[in-house]
Amino acid sequence: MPSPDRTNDEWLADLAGDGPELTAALEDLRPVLHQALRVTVGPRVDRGADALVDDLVQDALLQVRDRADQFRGDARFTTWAQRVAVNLAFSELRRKRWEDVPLDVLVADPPQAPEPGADAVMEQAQAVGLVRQLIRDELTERQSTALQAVLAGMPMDEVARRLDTNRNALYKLLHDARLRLRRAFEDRGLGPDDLLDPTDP
Amino acid sequence: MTLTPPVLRTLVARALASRPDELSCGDCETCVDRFAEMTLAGLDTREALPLVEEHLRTCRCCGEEFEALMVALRACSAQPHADG
Repeated sequence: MPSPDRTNDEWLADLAGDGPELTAALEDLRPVLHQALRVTVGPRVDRGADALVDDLVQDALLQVRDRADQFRGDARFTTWAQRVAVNLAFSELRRKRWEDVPLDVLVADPPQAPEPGADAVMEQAQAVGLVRQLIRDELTERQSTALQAVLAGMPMDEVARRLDTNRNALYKLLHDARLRLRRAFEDRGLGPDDLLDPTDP
Repeated sequence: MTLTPPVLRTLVARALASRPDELSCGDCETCVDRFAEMTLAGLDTREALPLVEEHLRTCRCCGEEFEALMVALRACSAQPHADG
């Protein structure tokens, strides 16, 4: 890789400028980020990986420059920069993968299928009914929507985008929801054995 | 909502394992670079940064991004370091 050695402080100083130092720093960082995204994004894309990686590297370079003041200095600067690039790239991949899936499809309550009469299935149905009721009673509508979407497999950053928030705030929302459910389980004396059937596949 | 048994189990297990001191994604992000370098160096991250380790294990997005970062860093480690 052609990058000259730089200390963390030198990276920050060069990226904070607007002259040839900035240009040189970005050009030295480009192959580092390009390799990071080529080896991580490339295998996840069927077609047009080279062009996509080039675009993502360009976006990542801008983000690294703009967010350099957030670098805390407890790792190599290039580690931080690669993490910024990877996070940006994977958020974009997830967005593209899920952009056509409506949120309300994931949180809609489907018609109940008729339950067979076996005891184990009945107990499971009761547990499902109880948890569903607790979600309804204990959580806010926003918590319930977010929780159901995440449980349905939608990535956090995509749920956050649909709810007009960010992943960090969404995590806190879901964390609060989980704590509320835990308290609700505990208040009713329900433990894992009451709610989790160990014989389930 | 389709609360199939596996989904129910995931939800209940996560709820019962929830702790007030969990890291958020943003908290994790501020520590994950060091965590990644320690992992690369073979150091005991579970001892040093247990909450980061837990967040990466339970947050699918952060976990996925961490795994990708490790792939990138391992590819980079074969190259001369660009900083220090």
